[in-house]
Amino acid sequence: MKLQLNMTVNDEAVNIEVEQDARLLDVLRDDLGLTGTKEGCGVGECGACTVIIDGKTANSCIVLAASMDGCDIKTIEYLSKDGKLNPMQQSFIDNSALQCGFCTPGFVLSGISLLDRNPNPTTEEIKEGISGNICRCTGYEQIIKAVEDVRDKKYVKDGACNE
Amino acid sequence: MLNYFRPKTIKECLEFITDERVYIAGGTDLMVELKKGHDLSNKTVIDLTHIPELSGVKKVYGELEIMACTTHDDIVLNKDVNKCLKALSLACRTVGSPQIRNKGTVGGSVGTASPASDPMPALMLADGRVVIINKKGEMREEKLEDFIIKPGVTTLKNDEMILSLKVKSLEDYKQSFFKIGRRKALAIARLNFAMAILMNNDETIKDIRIVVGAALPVTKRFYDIEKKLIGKKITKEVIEQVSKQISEQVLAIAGPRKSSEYKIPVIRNVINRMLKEMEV
Amino acid sequence: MSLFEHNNNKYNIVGKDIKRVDALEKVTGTALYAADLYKGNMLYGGNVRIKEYPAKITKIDTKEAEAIPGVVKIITCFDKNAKKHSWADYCYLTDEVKFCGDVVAIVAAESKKAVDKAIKSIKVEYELQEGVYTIEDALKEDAPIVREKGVGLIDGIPNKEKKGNIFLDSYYPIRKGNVEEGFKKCDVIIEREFNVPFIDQAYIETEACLVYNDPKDGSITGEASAQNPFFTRRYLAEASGHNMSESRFIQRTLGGTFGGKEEGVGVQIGRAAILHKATGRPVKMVNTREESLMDSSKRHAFNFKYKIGATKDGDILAAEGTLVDNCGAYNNQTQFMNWRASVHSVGVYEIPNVKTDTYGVFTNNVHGGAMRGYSSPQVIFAQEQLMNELAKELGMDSVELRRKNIIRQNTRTATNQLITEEVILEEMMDELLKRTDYYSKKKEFEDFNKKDNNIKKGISLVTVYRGAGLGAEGVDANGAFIQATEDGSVIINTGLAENGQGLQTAYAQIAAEMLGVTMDKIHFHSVDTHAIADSGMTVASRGTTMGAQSMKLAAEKLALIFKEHVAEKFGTTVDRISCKDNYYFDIEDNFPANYSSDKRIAFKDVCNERLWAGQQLAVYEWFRPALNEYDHHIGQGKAFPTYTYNVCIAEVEVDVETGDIKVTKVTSGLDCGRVINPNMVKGQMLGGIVMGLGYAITEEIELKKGRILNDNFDSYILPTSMDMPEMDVVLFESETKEGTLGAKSVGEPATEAVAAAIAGSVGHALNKNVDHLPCSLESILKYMD
Repeated sequence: MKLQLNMTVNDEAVNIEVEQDARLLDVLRDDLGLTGTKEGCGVGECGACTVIIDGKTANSCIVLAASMDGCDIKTIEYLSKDGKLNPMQQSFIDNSALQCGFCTPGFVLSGISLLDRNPNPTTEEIKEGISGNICRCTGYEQIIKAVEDVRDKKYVKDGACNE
Repeated sequence: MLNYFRPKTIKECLEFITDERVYIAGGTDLMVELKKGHDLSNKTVIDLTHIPELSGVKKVYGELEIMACTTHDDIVLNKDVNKCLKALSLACRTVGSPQIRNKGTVGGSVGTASPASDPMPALMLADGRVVIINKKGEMREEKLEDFIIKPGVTTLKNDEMILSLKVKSLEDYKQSFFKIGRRKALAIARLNFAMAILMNNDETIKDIRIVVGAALPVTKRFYDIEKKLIGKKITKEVIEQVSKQISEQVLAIAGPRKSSEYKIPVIRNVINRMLKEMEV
Repeated sequence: MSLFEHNNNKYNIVGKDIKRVDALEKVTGTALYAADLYKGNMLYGGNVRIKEYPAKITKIDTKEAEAIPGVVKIITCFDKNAKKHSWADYCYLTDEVKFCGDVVAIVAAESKKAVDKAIKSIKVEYELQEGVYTIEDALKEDAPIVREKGVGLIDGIPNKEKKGNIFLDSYYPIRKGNVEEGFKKCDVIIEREFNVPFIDQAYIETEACLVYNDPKDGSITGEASAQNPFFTRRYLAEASGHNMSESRFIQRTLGGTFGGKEEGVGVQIGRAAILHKATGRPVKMVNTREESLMDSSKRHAFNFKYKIGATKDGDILAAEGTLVDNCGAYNNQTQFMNWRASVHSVGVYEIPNVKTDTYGVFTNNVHGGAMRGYSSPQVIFAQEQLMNELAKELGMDSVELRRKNIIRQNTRTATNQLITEEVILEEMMDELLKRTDYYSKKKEFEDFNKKDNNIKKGISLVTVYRGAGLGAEGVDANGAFIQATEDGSVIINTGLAENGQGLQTAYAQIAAEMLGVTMDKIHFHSVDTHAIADSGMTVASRGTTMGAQSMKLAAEKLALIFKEHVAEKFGTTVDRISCKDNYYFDIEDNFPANYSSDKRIAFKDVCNERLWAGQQLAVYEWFRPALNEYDHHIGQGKAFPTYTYNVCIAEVEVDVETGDIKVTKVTSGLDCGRVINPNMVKGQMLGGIVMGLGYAITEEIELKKGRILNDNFDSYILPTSMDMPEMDVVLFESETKEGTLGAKSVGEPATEAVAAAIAGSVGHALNKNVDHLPCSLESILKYMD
């Protein structure tokens, strides 16, 4: 039996029928074509499927889509909707904070969410803030630097570097 | 066929309860179970995450009432919990990852009865009780130790749900929480510990509470050992004795398993260390 | 990070911190990985496996599954028409299950849900057989035989006259000098044993593919995240029964591989091709993490037995070793990998007498394969602990023991190869000792450890080298195609794949440098087997050092053709023409300060003129290095054209009461030859350190009768951001004639020494010989017993 679901995804109203046991991740990818959200483990351990639900990060692989009725969901695609990069995205590029790129959307969202809640985190707090995202390529250091640069306001709103 | 319900109030929720009910309190465990092949067909899935009444922390008469669907993150940020039960703040901060703490709830953690639950030792430290409501709206309270029977099994009846957790305020106590995992985040506790102590002016113990988790099928508070310590000073000998007794008790209950080779000496070492730190 | 540069960098783009050319698509989530592909009318595929091994399948009942709505096709191992065995030892389908990844039936259905339901409904009956799982058991005289081709030992040497479990093709001896005579002259001889478990590459993207029919391109098209596009095409063509010319493989963005997306992706695409052939519809297969762990190759588990001897002054005179690895049930890698293991079996030390035997054994486990290092992390772990033990026995500082015995210019390796190139290993050691303040820290830690603390501190240095590229393992040949277009933009195309390591950025830098155009003009076209010839695999850290040679040649040749064009226009000779920032100019003019429009010509104008004049705008070049002379029977000769050298120092704090290890700092110095892109090399090094940390402390595939117990990332423990140490990366440049523009290998050297250094520092902290990995909580407590 399918269920009617009304949610907001990347600022757009989405009305969709979903299977009752569908995962949010599958609805985003398979039904809405938002493939920037990735599946790495399916058990909430790697963070590749991170999205922002009502202002907080969550692993969309362990979120029941049906539970998202009335919720506001933002995925990686939201950030450059207007054709401009978010400062966090620009900082990831400038800091070489990615290699294979599979975990990158999740890290970008975790970084943004961290700064939303704590605009001035210490390096240790940044490590904690991104600790739900696993990267097998970079060793994290350049990712942390990317978040620090945004924290330190090296970027103006449109993503251009201040320096 | 799975039946999904998303009540907005507790009253509405009670109406949905059937014998085949399964709750979603945050979903961080249930969704994993589902992936691992847990069969939810013919179950009534009741989603508790849209009930505002089920979230938040109230402070009443030297007690905290933590509503069942308060997330780990809410607890970390809650000022009352921080003040009255610091060990719980510390414990919740070690749960999984930011994403997990944003979704996972303390009621869910209690309901799944995992032996490695991180909030559990801190809740037991503060005489944690589970407040339960049934379909008819009748309420009952049960001590956590009694509520949890074995891993994954509690006394919760089919027509009941967890409403909240009540804990004593340990505001005046010195508290600590310690977790051993294989890594520093996203870690399942290999062992976890909570301790609280209240001293008299003459440096004798007025009250002490010691809990060890992930060592036994059910997280254990050592009431008998605690009792014997009241009125005593924390000396080196006492510390040695207590840590030895606790590790021996765990061994006696657990029996000689493979994991005991590691856990028994480590329990002794860590209790020893935590007591020393309490002394300072 | 520090970079010790050569003073001869005459380049504008090579050697600079150029931003990754693939970064934009990756930060916006628009990069397409194989699982992101969808096609109309597409089916999902799935695999049926059993949970005990080895077993003979007797019956498969698909009746119930076939009735499930949405299930389109089920093919079992009893299906006469199905292709079962692949060209590379592995099976698409089999009724003789030898390990956990073996598949007995495959399913195609309209939805993922229907696939899952079908898999659960298929009833498989089997007869369980006696299995062999550990190296020790595989070598027992009466062990069950895992593979018909396995051989036994006669006088300790694999011999085809006897049945057994040894994979004969993976046997490599090294015989240098005379070890018996060598040991006679030694004052100190020690013997030690070590072992390491299987671990997983654990890329975050699981294996995925899509197979469909596009008649325009031939009969079958496959897209996947594969490390070896041409190998993947081989599986695609074979499983579908088409010619290679009709089988097109398109490389998708790769979400990490580290050696893992080779045979696993090949077999997967073969299964998808079988389902596609049977249904005529596009078929997509995406592994779950559990499947990825069961099905994909692992870093080999190894047992090591070493004997080493030295004079009392620390001159190492003889070394002897038996290196045995666990191949799993099928294998198409150990016969290559063990050659590398044998070459490096006694480390970066000049030892006159060496005798080692390296071979693999078949067991009923998941197979060992490639993982970042291709045997070196295992061998280095054992070899470097052995050096620490020898130093202890000699009463000598372990760094000084290394200093005394390391390979230098004009010395000979274990394979008796004379190293003629510059070796800067000693300078690297000294720089790292200095910047870590090694000796004062060592003393400070030892004093600290004498106190009654629960924390013990340790520090350890390791020195290693690594043959760059394939060496005598294979022919390191490759081709590249470069074409300029009329608007002055350039498409480059190679048979090697971007693994995430930054290959396309490095290749684009090399092409831009050679042509004199800016980076934005270069577009890297990722592998399409219909558009470029087979250039072998993107493995062995050969991508830049060897794989880019043909790209350099092609770009050089195109640059020359264009310069001739400009020289003719300017009425001058070609040697006076140069190109920079997309403009040709006469080098006699002071560019760019002094140029005017009549003294320069735009690259794009040259392109445009040539197009309409019908002149050549593209070049294809092939590179084949000189073959190495090497005698595989005794393991003597020139193994590799050049070597990368690495020094790594790890510092740890061990909580002896809980077994918890905090890696406080890792300092790693690498001889890169020439650095093409410092920031990207740094990224490789940092990632390599954290991957090495996982190998040292947490990672292990836990097996029970061939079944993988930790089958997802909740129990297979990867390091997080909160586990990373402080890291200091030091890049050294050195002179080499080999390697593209003098570049050496980076990817594997970045990780191979790290676990050895961490284990060494744990050993130093505890004053014990760390004889196995990982240094888990439990193992630390055991060392303290």
